[in-house]
Amino acid sequence: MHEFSIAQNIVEILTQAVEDNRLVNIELITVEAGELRQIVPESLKMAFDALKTEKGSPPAIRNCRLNLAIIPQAVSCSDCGCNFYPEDLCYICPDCGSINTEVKEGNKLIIKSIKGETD
Amino acid sequence: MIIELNQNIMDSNNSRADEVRKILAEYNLVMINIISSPGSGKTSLLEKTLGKLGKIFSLGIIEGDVNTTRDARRLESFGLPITAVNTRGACHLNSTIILKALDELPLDNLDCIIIENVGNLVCPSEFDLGEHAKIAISSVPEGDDKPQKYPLLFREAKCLILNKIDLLPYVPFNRKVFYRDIENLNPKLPLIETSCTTGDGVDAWIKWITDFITTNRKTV
Repeated sequence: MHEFSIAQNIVEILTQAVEDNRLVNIELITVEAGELRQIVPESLKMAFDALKTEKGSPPAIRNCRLNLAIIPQAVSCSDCGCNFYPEDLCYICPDCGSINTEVKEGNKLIIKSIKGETD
Repeated sequence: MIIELNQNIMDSNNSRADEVRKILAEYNLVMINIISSPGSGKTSLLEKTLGKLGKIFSLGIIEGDVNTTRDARRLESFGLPITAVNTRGACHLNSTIILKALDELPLDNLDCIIIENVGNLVCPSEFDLGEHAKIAISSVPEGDDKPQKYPLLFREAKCLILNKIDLLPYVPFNRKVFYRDIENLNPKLPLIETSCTTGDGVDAWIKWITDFITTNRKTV
């Protein structure tokens, strides 16, 4: 259940954003989770919903909805330059058979944006 | 209004992991993070490793446990500095916990710190602890499907131990499938087969970790 720790981090970042931008309400937060990060959407939403209404959380995030987008993986071959999706979790280049490949997408966990109102 | 944040959610953990890395560099220490399911043999492998490795390097241990200090007690007889971390139910260690644990170890006198993470194949692989290497252990009775089911750990690990190979004749474990999946998932990952019961493969593992520590410490 690493989703709980992740939700805690999200609430911390939102708390800072409320302060930095003098927000009175954050209606929506968009999170992008790379496929490799193994996030269970329901668990993250459940943890976030529990934490946003906790005593210490700012009132401006109480009604915030979490929009979670799972970003599929994109792998690039360092030898032939081809880009591919690792079908069946195979990271060997399907074109040239090289093992020198790098995950370019699907590895990150970021807060993309928030939608809020100032006073 | 819409505010584009583009902020990494793991920033706070990662910046504390950077602090850990600074400390490790300052004291010329190598830190290893051992991750596996509960019961796959992390503590047993350490019991087989610490005696021999402790003759080559000065070792410290950070022992993560959800609810007891049993594993730390199992390792006490080696006489090494051990910090037992009880996560009180949390399923992983994070870099804040490691920073605190480092405070309790005699860093001046150490060459290498070995972390035994909480038994879990998912969460611990998500958290950067500032370590030089994550080591994955998979064991034969768990089945051959673990790399496909929990790919992140096997992608992030620098070495994979397949433990309890003495049980191969007794449980349905398809070695070919396991090796094929690992080769597809992380073709450069060294895989060492061990049995902590018979001692098979333990020397190969100790050689790997000895080479790794030597390579990653600055020669003074």
